Amino acid sequence: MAPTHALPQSRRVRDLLEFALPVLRAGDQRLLEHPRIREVFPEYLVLAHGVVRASVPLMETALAVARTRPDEVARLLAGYLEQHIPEEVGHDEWLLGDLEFLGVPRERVLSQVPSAAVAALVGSQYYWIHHVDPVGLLGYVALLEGYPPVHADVDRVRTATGFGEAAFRTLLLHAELDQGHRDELDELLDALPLTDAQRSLVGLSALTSVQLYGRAQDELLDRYGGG
Amino acid sequence: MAAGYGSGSRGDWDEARIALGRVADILRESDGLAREDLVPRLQGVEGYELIPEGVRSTLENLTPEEQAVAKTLIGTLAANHFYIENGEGGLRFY
Repeated sequence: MAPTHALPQSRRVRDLLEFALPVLRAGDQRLLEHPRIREVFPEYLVLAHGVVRASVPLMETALAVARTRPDEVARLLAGYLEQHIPEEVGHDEWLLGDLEFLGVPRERVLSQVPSAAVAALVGSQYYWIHHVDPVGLLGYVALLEGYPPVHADVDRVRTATGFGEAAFRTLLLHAELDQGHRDELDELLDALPLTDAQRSLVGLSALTSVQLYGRAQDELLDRYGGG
Repeated sequence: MAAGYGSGSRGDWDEARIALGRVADILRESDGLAREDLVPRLQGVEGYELIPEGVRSTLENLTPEEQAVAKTLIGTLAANHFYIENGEGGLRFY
């Protein structure tokens, strides 16, 4: 039985996420079986947009805070973010394009107030970045980029909704891109000389992100009944 | 899950889910345990050995802060009849 600090950090984060991920998979299954999936799926993308549009600002905030800290973890984190932020720019626009294909105007998406669960998901990261340590953001990134949609799952949703491929461009692009991003993140996690407190923060961030994303999904599905 | 449920029969699967429910009880009743206190408590759970090794390792390495979220997550899984749901096994709902 290896104690926490004996595990490579990437393995520890993945173990935690894989323990918790059935919470999100339960939501995915509810979506797939939902009798009103053609109405619910566009709202799923709107929810995702509410999260994705915060990704670059969150990373920029973490980068700014990391640059003010003198430790090696902050230096390595800043280097990672400097490289990674440009790779994430514009993904919210991709989602807006997919939604427009589905007949959801961008003005409607941008004027909609995201749920409290989405605000808590993103907002908890701002709290940890500003008041604890920006390295906590890596638990959140590990979830969002570590488990991209697989083509088979996207195909199941396409079949269930009957929507054209243009509605799934963002999901399909992430299926391609995120594997590389995951590898880069794992490499960083294993290189970071984390303290026990930082290690715990990254794990807490990962688990909390699953919990809050799951809550956001459930609230959406509950609004539509069934499923 | 990263860890499979190995050679367990359907009966073992249900027992493993029930044992995980007992783990959730321990997490709920405690206020965040240090590892040296957590591990003996977990290993004393009836049927604990039926939980897959990878999941046990994850549970035993939860920090006190992570334990607080983990008990909520296990409850959500149970409420969704997923992963540790009751089935025929008699796991109580949270």
